[in-house]
Amino acid sequence: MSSHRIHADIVELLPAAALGILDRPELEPVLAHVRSCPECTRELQALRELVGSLALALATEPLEKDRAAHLRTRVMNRTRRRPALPRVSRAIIAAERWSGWMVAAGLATLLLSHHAVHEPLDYGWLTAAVLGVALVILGLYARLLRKRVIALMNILDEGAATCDESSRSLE
Amino acid sequence: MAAGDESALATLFTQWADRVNTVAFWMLQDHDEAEDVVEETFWQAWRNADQFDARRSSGSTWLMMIARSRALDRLRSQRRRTDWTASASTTSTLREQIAARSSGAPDSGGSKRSAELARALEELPPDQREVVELAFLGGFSHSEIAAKTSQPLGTVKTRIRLAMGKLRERLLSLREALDELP
Repeated sequence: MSSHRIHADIVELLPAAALGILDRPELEPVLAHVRSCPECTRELQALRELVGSLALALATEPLEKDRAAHLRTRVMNRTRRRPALPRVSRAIIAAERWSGWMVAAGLATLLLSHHAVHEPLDYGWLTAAVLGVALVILGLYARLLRKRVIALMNILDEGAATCDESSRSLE
Repeated sequence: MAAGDESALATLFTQWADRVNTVAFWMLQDHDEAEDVVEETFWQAWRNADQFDARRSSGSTWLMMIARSRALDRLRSQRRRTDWTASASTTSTLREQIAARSSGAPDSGGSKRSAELARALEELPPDQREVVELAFLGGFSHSEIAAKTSQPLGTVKTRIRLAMGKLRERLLSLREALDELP
């Protein structure tokens, strides 16, 4: 399918994405496209603003005063049990993402430099190439593991939130 | 709030709890469920405060989107448990709710926006209004709306897109008009 056609199909789905009514299999390609398409990013943002405006325009259903106070206490107690996640800068995230590759590249450079100077083995270049490939495979494996670890951390996080709710309902 | 300032969360709660409760209540039609959504919304806002980007959306939109997401989660969970299909009365009152809000304080910007949205909804063809109401308040997916309205999936998608486009145009023209006010 051409990228123009994909773009046209995604544009069709943006209102539903803004309304939050797309199923996950429908939503994922939309979000993937939006990340790489400034036009769709702007469009989705504008539609989300519209949905927000619709929400803000609804006839107010205020909380009763004592219910509001009780809810406020619940929210504040919950935040004290589990403080906000620390802010992590984009630079740190990028450094973390590339650090493994940088170490692998450094090791490969060291290996090749060492061989260039000392030539310790008869098939040194071949050995260096094999080790280089092994490093790349190791890097890819580490990347795969990292994704799994992040997924597990998210599951644990959700579990902790559920525990919070369960303990609250027991109170 | 991103720095972990609890007083900022308390202020946010004081200013926005009623609005968040409004969205949750109109979607769920249940006070207890709506209050749970209020709590979850502020909890999520607190935890994800560092993800808020003022260049991408206003704070109110961000909070409303969180509230809608949490309410939608509950709606879907209810439907899974009970095979529930919303009656027309649950989702056909968006126009009336917005009209009721817009008749509150005629001189405020928010009320003008509500009045304009109420008019824009009123002017939508009934078939387009119906799908927007089912999607916005009922949280129904394309295929669910297609089943409820007995319309082809493509027709439902087109109606939602056209309706949202018209509402957006109206909101944009209103924003320009408000910007031009002295």
